[in-house]
Amino acid sequence: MTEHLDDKELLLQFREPATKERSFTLILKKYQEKLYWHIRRMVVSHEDANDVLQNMFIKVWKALDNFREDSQLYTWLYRIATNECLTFLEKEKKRSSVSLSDVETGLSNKLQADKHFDANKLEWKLQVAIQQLPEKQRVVFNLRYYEEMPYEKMSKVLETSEGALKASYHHAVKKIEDFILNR
Amino acid sequence: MENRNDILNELEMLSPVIAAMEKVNVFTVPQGYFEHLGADIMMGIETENGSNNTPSLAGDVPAGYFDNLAGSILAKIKTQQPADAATEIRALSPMLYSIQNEKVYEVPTGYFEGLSEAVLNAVNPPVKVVSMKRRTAVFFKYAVAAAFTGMMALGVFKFTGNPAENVELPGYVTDGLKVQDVDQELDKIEDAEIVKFLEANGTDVKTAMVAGSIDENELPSQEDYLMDEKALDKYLNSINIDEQKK
Repeated sequence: MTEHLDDKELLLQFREPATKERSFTLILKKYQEKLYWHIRRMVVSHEDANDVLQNMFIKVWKALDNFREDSQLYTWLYRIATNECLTFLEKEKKRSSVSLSDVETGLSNKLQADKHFDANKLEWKLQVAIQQLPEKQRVVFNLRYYEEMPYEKMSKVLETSEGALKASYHHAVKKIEDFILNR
Repeated sequence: MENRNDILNELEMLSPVIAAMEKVNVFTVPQGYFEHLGADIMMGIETENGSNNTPSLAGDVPAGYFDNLAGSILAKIKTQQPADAATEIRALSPMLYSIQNEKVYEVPTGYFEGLSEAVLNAVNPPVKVVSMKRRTAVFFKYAVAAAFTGMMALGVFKFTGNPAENVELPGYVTDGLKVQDVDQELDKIEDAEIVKFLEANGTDVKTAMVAGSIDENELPSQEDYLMDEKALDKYLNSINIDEQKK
């Protein structure tokens, strides 16, 4: 029964000391896979994705009491996950003292280091193409292409206008198509 | 609100190539990863909060869990308060806590008693006062010479300016009028005569005697003043002014 509680009910239970941890584990179970794949597509390696996801949920635990519900829990979680990814990538950039484009090359290299990587397979070529995109464009493409997120929701997650998101997605698609067809 | 078809139609318009591609997840995760993820995250939260109690996931609640839950949450809130260093190290490592105050290093006896003074001395070293007497002595020598020269010039003025007046000048003044080399002639004048002159003109004879009798080669050097603050006194005693006055 409790497995099917909606976000509002889960949040109410989280505010009750007696059900706080239990409701949190339900929130966690509900969103962990979706958020994991969102993060994984951004940071590529499983180890990094796991670190980012765990840190993100620890922050959620601390901040959930103050969650104001003027946005949906779903968009709020995606916003935190996205910010954690961008922070992680920024730290990577600083740690290795390389430019952003080098980080993107590094992500492509991580991708190609995967034991299942096959450059001749279209799905892998698509992944390499996605890693060539600038960070923000990559977030927009992933949310739209894989999560099939409407621009309205995405604008709440990324706090960007729908028009700007649409333009960003269009640019990203064209770049990826060009990469797949011409390289 | 857009639905799935709207999103697919948009993609087909933008890139039929990408739209035609099958969405394949190329990434893999370790087996059983998502089954343990919730527990791992809760353990991370517990570690952050400094508690060792690992919560169970929903659907797997230990007997009596909810009876003790309020108490355990209160305890957790307490553990979230910043622990002092002693409490923290006791919780982290009882062994390190037990040897926390063992002293393995030694300091010389009385080290801390003299430390503040040593530091203050290092910060503000005692100021060495270097006497300016040597310059003063040279000054007096030339002051005496200037006084004689002045007197002689005055005599010349009186003698040449008023030839009608027959002014009787002291012998040393008339002799001085013939002088070409003042220093040479000053050496020829008796000390007693100089004393007489200085006393008549209100000069401190003792100071003037010191100034006049100093041989610069015998003066204490700059290093002597630095080594011994009483270097000047010792020197003055050594030249025995009173005897020279006689």
